[in-house]
Amino acid sequence: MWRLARAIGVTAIYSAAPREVLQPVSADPQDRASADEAVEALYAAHWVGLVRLAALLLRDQRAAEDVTQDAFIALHRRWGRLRDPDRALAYLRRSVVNGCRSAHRRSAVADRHRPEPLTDAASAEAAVLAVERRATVLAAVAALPRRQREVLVLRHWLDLSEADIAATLGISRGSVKSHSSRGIAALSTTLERDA
Amino acid sequence: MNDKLETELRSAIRSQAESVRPTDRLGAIRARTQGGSAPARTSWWNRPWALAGGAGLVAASVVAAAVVLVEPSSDEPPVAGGDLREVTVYEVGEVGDREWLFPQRVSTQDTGDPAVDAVRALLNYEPTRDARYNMLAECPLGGDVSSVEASASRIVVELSPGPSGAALCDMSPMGAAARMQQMVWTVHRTTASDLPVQVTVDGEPTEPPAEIDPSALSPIIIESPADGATVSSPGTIAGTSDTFEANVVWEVLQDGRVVEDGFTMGGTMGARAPFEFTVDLEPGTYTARTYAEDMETGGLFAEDTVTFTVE
Repeated sequence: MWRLARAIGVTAIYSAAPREVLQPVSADPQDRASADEAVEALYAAHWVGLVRLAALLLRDQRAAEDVTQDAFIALHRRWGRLRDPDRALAYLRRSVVNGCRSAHRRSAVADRHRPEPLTDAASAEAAVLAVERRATVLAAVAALPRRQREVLVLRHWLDLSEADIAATLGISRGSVKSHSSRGIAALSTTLERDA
Repeated sequence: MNDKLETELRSAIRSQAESVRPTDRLGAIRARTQGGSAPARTSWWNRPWALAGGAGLVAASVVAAAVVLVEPSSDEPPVAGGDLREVTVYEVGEVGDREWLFPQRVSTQDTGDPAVDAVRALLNYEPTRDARYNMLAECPLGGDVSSVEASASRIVVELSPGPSGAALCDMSPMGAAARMQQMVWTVHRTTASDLPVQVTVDGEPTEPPAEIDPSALSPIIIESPADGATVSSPGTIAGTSDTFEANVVWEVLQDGRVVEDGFTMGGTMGARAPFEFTVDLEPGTYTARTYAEDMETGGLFAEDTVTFTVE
């Protein structure tokens, strides 16, 4: 009974769907066509970037594509209420980040599939060192508390402003600042120790 | 120096991202969005515990036991010699990929109403440790607390209207659930009640009344010494736990190195029980870490740490 209670709590806490209740788009063929068009345009512009965002957070490309695909499908269902490409993109980002949190929990894939640094056999020693250093930096990022990692990834991959990061993660701008500075401080400590 | 690090970080993140070559899924998306109704997926908002009145029988049946056994409630005694009172508030702590609630003792202004004082302390609480959060401060439900009143069926926490900046916060369901659990646990602790908690702003409910989620509390909690305390040695580190086979692994670290370790037993199967272990340490500053592993994934299931100084 205890196990079940815990499972219920966990599922509810880590759900992927953003807060609003999703509703099927209207049966009106015009609405459906408008949703199709909007989703295809957003797909063309943002599919690659969002999958890469998910891959940075999950470190598993297939899971990243699944999460991002679900986000586009959810957006399609919700288009009747959004009807605004800017808000739609914000919605997609939130869905992807939320989806990554629950996917990460479900599979615990991340620790078992740490990407090996891509090494080129013909690289000069300096290049090998640079690749190793990069892998060290990424491993240190992966070891950060989740919110610090999310803030740094959103800033450096999607170039989001503090306000947009706050909206994506559902936290205040002050928290974005503090997660960011704590993350950088932790990275600095880890990397100095490993240097 | 941090500028250099940020540049390096940015370059590492971007090259990692660009090494990912997404496959084309437009066809799969079209297949799921065209014709017929949307595919049925279990919706989180139908989960019973998140909604008023529906906090499933399973959760409800554990509530009373959890409140009585886990957290013996009491009116918090005022601190001697001043207008301060000690209260317990609950913060969210990140452990691996899980989040748990952790109790924290804090001093707050004693205005004569223990419940109001505890809620105010919670709203203003600033976590001091890394990976600990106060969702109520990050995304306020409203402004200051004006009253905490129990009726026959619920406890109503009335807040004044919040700062306008709060509108910027669009909580994830996860964050919103954690935020309400912080409130419910804090209110139950101070009122010794187990009724659903309803937050209102200017008399208007902000969301449905929330039941306590007994599984939100960290399965391992160190209760003594307090974080930052100065203690004598030998001394005992004590807390309560509820883990698989009652196991609690512990270690004491100094400058990141383990100086003593072992394991002990607390509670299991939903029956939280005390654990303790004794350490004999030279003067200095130490961190005691207690944890339990997740039997399914081998990852971390629960953890609590305190840092203390031995005189």
